[in-house]
Amino acid sequence: MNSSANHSEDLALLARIADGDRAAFQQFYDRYSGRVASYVRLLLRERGQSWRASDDVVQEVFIAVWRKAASFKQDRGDPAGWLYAITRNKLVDGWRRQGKGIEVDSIDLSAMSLAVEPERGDVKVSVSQALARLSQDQRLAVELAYFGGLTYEETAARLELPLGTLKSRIRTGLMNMRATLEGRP
Amino acid sequence: MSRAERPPATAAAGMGRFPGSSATAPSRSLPSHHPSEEQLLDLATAQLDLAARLVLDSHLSFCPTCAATVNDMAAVGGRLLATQPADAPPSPEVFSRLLQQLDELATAQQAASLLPPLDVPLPEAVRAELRPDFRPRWRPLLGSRAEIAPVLLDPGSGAQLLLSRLAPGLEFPEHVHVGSENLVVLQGGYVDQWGDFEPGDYGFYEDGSRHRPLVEAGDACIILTRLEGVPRFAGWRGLLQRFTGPR
Repeated sequence: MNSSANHSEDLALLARIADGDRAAFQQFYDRYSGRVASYVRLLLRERGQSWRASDDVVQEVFIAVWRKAASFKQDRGDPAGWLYAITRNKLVDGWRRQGKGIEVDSIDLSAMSLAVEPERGDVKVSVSQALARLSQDQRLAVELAYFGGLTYEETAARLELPLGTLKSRIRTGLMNMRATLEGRP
Repeated sequence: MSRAERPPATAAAGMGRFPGSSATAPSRSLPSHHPSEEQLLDLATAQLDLAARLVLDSHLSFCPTCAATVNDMAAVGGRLLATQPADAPPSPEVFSRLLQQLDELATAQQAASLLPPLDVPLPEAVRAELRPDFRPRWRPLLGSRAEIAPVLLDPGSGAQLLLSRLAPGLEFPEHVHVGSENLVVLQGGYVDQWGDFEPGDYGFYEDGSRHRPLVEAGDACIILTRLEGVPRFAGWRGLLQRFTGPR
């Protein structure tokens, strides 16, 4: 999914981090901390929280990278996907601890957007393009509950859908996006 | 009672591992009991509390098929993350604080290395969430040949993560689950009406379900479990439980 060169470099860095290599940790941090911070700020803004809290979340994410690198499976893992899951988990854990719900009726669906910069290298289709190719039902579900700052329950409430239907749309949407991003029909 | 699990992936059901049986079947190398695709999606998209994530991550450490599924579901998010703008990094103090945390962690790990080693095969994904000096504090469970040790209490959901250690051949008392229970077998195994559970196998028991697990002969059965509530025992143990309160 990521360019193969980046993927190989990320794998090598994580293997070195797992061995306690701080120089590799700094390289991985330099590569991803800005992007993690951007994504965290986007989700914090969606929930009406100050982006200044993003530094604390970034710190939690990268200490988790250090501690979990040894459990990352080199032969089948995707480093960026792994990092994405860690980032979302740290955010959602924080919201649960703070009891931070969201007024689902206040969500402006038309204002949801992803700040995604153009991709370079061997990338043929961007995430935004892959998202745009989904049906509207799938796109909304994926934008709100997968990319965005809402839980499944909040998304289901906002879209007035049963939870099972929402999950099915997200699952199918992700499969379709992955196929598009990999250049499969 | 419904169970969210896939059909068994491998052969070798539970033959010959119970008291009185003479046959011996080869142990499986891959799990047979798995989370549902919905549960894997929940894991990949950060919908689970820490306790549930650790149980599922433990299953993934045994199961390349489920790990690949989660990988696929998270990959799109990874692509999104990798293409986020990088022109507004966190403040420089963040990395300084990280280095300080790494120093503190190294000190803690060095101190923990002087302690007796962990007496349970905890997966790396679980150890990474715990203090380096974590050691299970076993306590007997209702007088049976069973012990439990708390691991953590999820601060958001209130769910408990705990370890159970059950003696070989034990007929564990029948009990009803209060709230759901997710578990992964780390060592040994047990049998109930849903099958034969061995290392790596994932179990999900819904609220109100009941069973009476029979522990296999051989090794002690060690299980990592997420509980939403304290199970209620049947019979005289249940009466005792009501009078003394659950432990």
